[in-house]
Amino acid sequence: MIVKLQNNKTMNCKDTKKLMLQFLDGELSAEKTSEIKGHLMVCSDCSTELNKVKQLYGLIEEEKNEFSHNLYLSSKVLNRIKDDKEQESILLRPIRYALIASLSTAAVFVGIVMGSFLSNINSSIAQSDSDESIELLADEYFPTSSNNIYDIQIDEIENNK
Amino acid sequence: MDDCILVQKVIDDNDHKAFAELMEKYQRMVVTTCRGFVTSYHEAEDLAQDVFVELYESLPGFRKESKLSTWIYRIAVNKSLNHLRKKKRETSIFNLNLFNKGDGKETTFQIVSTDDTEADYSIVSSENKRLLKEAINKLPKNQRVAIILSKYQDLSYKEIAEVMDVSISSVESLLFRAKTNLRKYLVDNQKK
Repeated sequence: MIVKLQNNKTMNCKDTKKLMLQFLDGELSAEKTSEIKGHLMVCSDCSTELNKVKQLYGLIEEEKNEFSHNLYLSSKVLNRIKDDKEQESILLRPIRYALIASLSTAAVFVGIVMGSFLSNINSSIAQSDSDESIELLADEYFPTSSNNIYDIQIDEIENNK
Repeated sequence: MDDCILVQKVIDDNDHKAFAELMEKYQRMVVTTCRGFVTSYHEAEDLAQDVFVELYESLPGFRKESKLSTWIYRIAVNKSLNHLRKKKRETSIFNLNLFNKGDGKETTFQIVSTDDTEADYSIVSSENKRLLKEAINKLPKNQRVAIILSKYQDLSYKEIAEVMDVSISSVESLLFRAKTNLRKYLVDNQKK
């Protein structure tokens, strides 16, 4: 039976199948919808397929309507957040202790190294200071400069001779 | 109370009451989005908890340029996809273990004819739901996300484009291809 439609056009099987879900969702233009309707009236194969797909595709609506507000969901989530934070602090505690211990060991080590380094410097400075002071003392008692008064006096005595 | 004020309270004062208010407001949206990806309602609720925990942790990084709902949708989609990936990996390990045991037993699905009894209807209905979910999860990732946001959340093309960070024309194309593939899978596998 051929049904006359507004625009006298019907769609073929291939295009009907291709646009089946869009047809079910009501997304097609009035013209396309009319063409598909016309084809479904004359094609039992496409009509059967549409019914099968409609049954399965309709389950999405069923799943959407499954929702029921859970009064405990927010308290469960807040408990999890609290637990996570506690767990994090428990996990971090040994790391924190280890970090403190290693930092204090490092500080002691650095202290020792710095101490020994500074004492070396001090001793070398002290060494050079003592050398200088010895030299000064020696110069005081045994002057070496060319205008040494003792040297002049000795030279004068020798010349007088 | 406005979303921005609630978010600020959570960030500044670690206000759990404000966060609980946000969860109450977005519970339906998150559970229904997750439901689009997973096979059972309980699984969707568990996943929703993960989504809210992640939301709480990520709120300090939330830029108020986009809507909070867009941000939540993104977390819900990512969590669901990761959950499915993890589940798939676990299933393949489980199957591998069964194969290694070599007990010779094969698992087959029994096709039940539709009788008028309630029990049989329930079996057929759950089998149909399994087929639908299988069809959705066989879709390429982008098509799957687009169809779930469209069908389970009734989001507009523009809203889907914002969540997925793609153009509106891409969403149109993704939905068209998703519906074509979905119909094909449903028809092909129902005939078996």
